Parts: sequence; structure tokens; C-alpha cells
Amino acid sequence: MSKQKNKWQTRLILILMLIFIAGSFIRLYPAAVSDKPLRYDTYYHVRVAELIKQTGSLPDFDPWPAGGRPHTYPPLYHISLALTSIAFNVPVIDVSRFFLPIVASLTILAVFWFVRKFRGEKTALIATFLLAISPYLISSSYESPQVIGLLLALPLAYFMINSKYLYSGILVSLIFLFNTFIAMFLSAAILIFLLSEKRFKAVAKTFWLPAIVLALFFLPRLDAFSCSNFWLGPYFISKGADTWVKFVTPAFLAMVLIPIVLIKGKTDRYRRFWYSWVGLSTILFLTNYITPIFHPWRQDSILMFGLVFFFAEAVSGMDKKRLLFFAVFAIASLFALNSMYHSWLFDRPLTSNEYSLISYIGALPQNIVPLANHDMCSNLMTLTNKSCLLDTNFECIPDAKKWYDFENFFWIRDSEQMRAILSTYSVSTVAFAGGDWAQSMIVSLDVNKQYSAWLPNTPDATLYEINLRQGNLSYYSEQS
Amino acid sequence: MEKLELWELTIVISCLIMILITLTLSTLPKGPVTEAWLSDYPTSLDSGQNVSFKLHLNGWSDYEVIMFVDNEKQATVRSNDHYVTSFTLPNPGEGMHRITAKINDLTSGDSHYLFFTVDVL
Repeated sequence: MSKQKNKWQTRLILILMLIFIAGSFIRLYPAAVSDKPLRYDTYYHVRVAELIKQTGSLPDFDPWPAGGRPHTYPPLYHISLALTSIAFNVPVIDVSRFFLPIVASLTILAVFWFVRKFRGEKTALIATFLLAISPYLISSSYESPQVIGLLLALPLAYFMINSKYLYSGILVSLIFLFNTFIAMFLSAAILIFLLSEKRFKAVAKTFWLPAIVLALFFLPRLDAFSCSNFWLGPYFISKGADTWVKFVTPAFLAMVLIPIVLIKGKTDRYRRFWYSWVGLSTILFLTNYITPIFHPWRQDSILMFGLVFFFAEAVSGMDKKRLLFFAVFAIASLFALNSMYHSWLFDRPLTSNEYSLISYIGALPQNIVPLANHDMCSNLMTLTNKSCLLDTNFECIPDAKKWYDFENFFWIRDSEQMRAILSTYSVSTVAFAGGDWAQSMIVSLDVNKQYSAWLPNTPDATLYEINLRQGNLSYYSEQS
Repeated sequence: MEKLELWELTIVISCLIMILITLTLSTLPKGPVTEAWLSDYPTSLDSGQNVSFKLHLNGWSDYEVIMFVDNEKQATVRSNDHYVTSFTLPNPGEGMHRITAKINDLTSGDSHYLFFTVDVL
């Protein structure tokens, strides 16, 4: 019996190691072969971390977007990047390429530890495998410190299920200092979990510390939040769910329902915790049909994270015949899912010709501040230290009307609207990425197509100079 | 070593496949970037002055450049070794005119263009 157990332990360790190596490789290799961070958000975090490294203090002002704006993002991720950069004497931008994929890789082992505590080794191994190969979780391993929140969510869930509410509160506070969004999500999921058990005292025990941390962080920054005139407005303007969300909604709902049907046995605290998690993230995902405020792309990742635990339980309870079906299904899914993410797993936020455009703008005089889309602006500010008219929406937006006009500039279908925006805000240059289809309209205006970079079979990345004559922008019309 | 159970084998094979796919995808070729830009061009001119400007090219192997004033063809330059080319075109007359440099990539057959608008006073 003991020999049998030893053999199982050896197999377990070998398979776990293989899952960890494969999962880490899939996450780290794309970061290693790219010379730049793979996701848009990272470029913002690099700027803030660089500022901390240079000044030795937490910034209260973000100087890069034109006019600057108050800085209100929680500090721990940026401090971690800056300290790692100093400790290893590596530029912040290179640290940022690997920091989150390493955290995401550690999450693979943390999942094994966590599930093993509650459901045994077989379920733990399956959960670890599902997490390691999940395309959503792989592709979300590069950009947001929410990845750190997902890692810390495991000890948080462990303490919560074991009624260690003070420790849970400490972890919620810590997660909040990395990223507000994931901390708010986890707080809501915990609240649902505790209220479903009518543990009202536990709510107080869990949240007193996060409430204090939240107040200590935000109260001195209230001015920063009141700087904007209308900053939540654009979020509540319903743009409708995009095609991708509509396409995946039935699949997501099926993925929630299938394990619930398959899971057998009584609902204990472990399962109730994940019911709260999956239920909340499903609802938040569906809110995308009303408002983009809950950032549904992230909800996808959070939902998939919760589903890992559901599916692991459902699959580990299957008999051999069903397991064979699962095996075939899993391998086939790998190919199908892989085709979903492969096209952009290795892609940087911009194409090579767009990076050529960034370099060109970087060499122009400092007083030239272009209008470009979010991706272009963020890359431009980080890679060239130049200013730009748009930036991420992570923080307070001082002039939301202007900001919203600039965002919409790249989506409008009316050249008169385009002309009005350029004239109203006296925009001197516009940088178009290949995907900005509004580029086709600007040629009807009095502009100069000054620079272009091309890749085969890819739309051009172009810089237009705007000819404002006596403050007015007119249409170009052929004359003799 | 003992034979692996089906579910264990699934995990092992899947992990190996994912590593293989990741390695394969990283080797997909990416095309070359070609660039072109204009410099030293006027945005307004007095009547009678010539229109002078420079065209810079980077990454091209075999190409020709055709110059247009509005839609009228003015000059063709074929080259495979020029990096910067200076152009001087006769003044097109009063009014707003668009000077276009159409670059034909003779290797791929693609056409690209740059332009500027000049207001002749």
C-alpha cells in the first residue's frame, strides 16, 4: 500500500512539474521573445514605476498626457517594478515584461496548494492543469496587476473558508494596494459569500481593516477625484456589447451551467465561495450589454479563474467512460482555443510599422503633441518620453468632454465632426494606427500626409499635419 | 514506471502540445517595414514661386515615384538607391493644391502615397 502511495506521489510530482513548466513556458516565452511589453496597460505602469525610481517618492501628478493629470492609482505594483528594477539593475520596461508572467506562473502552483487543501490531489492536479492552459488566463498574464490579485485571492479564499477573517482582511487590503478593481470584485464576492451564510459579524471582522486602508489612501486624494468635470459620463453611454462579447456569451453561460450540473455532493463552504465568485463575475460580464464600466474583458478572466475550480470538481468526479470523452474534448479544445489566442499572444500592442511611426514622432520637436488612439499614445509616451493628447482611462480625466471627443475621433463616420474636433482643440498633428479607419476621411481636409510606414498586407500607420489657417481648418478641394 | 491513467496521459500530452504550439508560433515570419516621409515642404506660397520639397524613403528595394499636382502627373523618378530625393515643381497657380508623391513598390506591386497641401496666394 505504501509502495503504491509512493508511486502515486512520484507521478503526482512529475505531472505537477510538467504542468508548471508548460504553464510557465507558455506565459514567459512570448514575453522573452518580444523586445517590448506585450500589452497596452503595461506601458502606463512602466511610466509610473520609472517616475518612482527617478524621484524616490510616490507621484501625485502624471506629467505625460498633455496638461498632465492627478495620479491616483494604488502604489504597490509600481513600487514592486521600481524596486525590482533597482535590485537587478535592469530597466523598468524589461522588468515589466516578466513581472506579471512570473506571478501568473506562481499562481499555477498556488492553485495546486489551495485545491489540495480542500479537495485532494487528483482534483488539485486537474485544476492546476486547467488554469495552466486556459487561453484567457494565459493572455491576461501580461498587463494588469489584477494578476497579483488573482494569486493573492487563493490564500484569501483559504482563510475565508477557514473562518480566519482578520487574515482575509489583511489580504483584501494588500490586494487593494495593488489594484482597486480586483479588490472591489473580491470584496463583493466575499460579501455575497458571507451574507449567503448570514455571518454578519464576519463581514465586520473582514472589512474593518480594508475600510481603514481605503480611507487612508483615498481621503488625502479627494481633490484628485474632484478634478474632473464629467469623468464617469462616457462609461455610462451605452455603446452596446461588441461582436466578440455577443459571440462568446452563450459559450460562457454554458461553461457556467455545465459544471454546476455535473458537480455532485453537498454544497460546502469551498463550493459556496466559488459559487459567489462565478455568480458575481457572470453578472458583471453580462452588464456589458448595458455599460462598459465593469470592463468585461477583465470579467472574462475573473470568470475563467472561478470556472477552473468548478470544472476541476466536475471532471474529477467523472467515471472512466466520461473521462475518455473529456480527454478527447480537452485535446480538441486545445487546438480550437489556441486558434483564438495564438494570433495575438505574441503580438505587441502595435504592429512593426506603427512602432516605426512612434520612432518618427519621437524624433520630432518636443512641442509637437499628436492626437492618437490610446494604444499609440501610451506607447509613444513610454517609449519616447513625449506628450500625447490621450492616455489611459485608469485615472482621473481632467477634461472629460475633450477626452471623449478625442476618443470618438477615431470612430466617427462624419468628416464634418472630424473637422470640428480638430479645429475646436487646435490639434496640430494626428497619428493614425493601421486599424483607425477614420484615416480614410481625413484626406478630404486641408492636411499633409507627412509620414507613413507600411507592412505587407497591413494598413499604413500615418502622421498627418493639420493645416490650421488663421485658426480654421478647411476642406481640400481640387482647383486649377 | 507505472502506466499513466487516461486523465494523467491527457494532461501530459496537452502540456507537450502547448509547448510545441508556443514554440512554433514564435517562429512565424513578420514582414519588412517600409517608410516614407516628406520634409521641407511649404504650406503656402506666393504666386510664381517653385514648389520645393524632399522625399525620404527607407526600407525599399525597387520603386518608382510619380509626382502629381492635384490629379495631373508631373514627373516620374525610378531608383533603387536613393534615400532622399529633392523635387522642384513649377508653381501650380493661385488657390489650394495638393502635391502627391505616389510610390510604386516594383517588388510587391503595391502603391503608396504621401501628400501635402499648398495654398498659393
